[in-house]
Amino acid sequence: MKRKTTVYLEDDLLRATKIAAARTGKRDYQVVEEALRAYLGLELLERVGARSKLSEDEAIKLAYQELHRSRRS
Amino acid sequence: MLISALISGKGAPRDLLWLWLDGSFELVVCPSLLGELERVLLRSKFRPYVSVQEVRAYVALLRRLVALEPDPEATAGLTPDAGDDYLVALARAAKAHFLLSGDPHLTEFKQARPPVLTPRTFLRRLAASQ
Repeated sequence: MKRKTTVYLEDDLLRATKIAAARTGKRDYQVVEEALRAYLGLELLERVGARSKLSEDEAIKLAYQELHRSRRS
Repeated sequence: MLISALISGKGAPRDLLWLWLDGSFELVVCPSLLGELERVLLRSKFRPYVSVQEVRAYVALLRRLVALEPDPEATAGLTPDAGDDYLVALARAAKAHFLLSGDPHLTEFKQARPPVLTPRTFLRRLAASQ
């Protein structure tokens, strides 16, 4: 669900956003949205999560197995 | 928890990561913890799941968004595994309510203060409190 909000941007940042939007055929808000998703790491988490077939238990087991190996090495 | 939250797209650790990003609770870490997280995730066993570049981006993301506390003073004997002592020391220094871990070395250590919760247990508590 999208909500309307107001943010204040420096002139040069707003200009660069509009230029990026025009160059990529996107709306201004889509450029801002993509930048925020990247800043917050959402795109990274979604990409890595979608690729992984590990279950929660398998991931936890591997994590602690490697943690202890790392501490021993 | 932070490792499994990255390498598995489902389950309690990942759900907690989303809830943290959503502001449901505060996550406290220290430079040593982030260093260990990065060291472990850079081990070759994780390459099928996450690239080196993604590991670096993940750690940078956490460094940017978490409540970063200074490394706690070294205190020996807080846990059965000396490698975990700094985690308890950090949780105490930050006055954290819980220490989250899926490591049996910690989850089975019932005398730990603050208490150690598995991601699943913490998720249930969080859901019950909302």
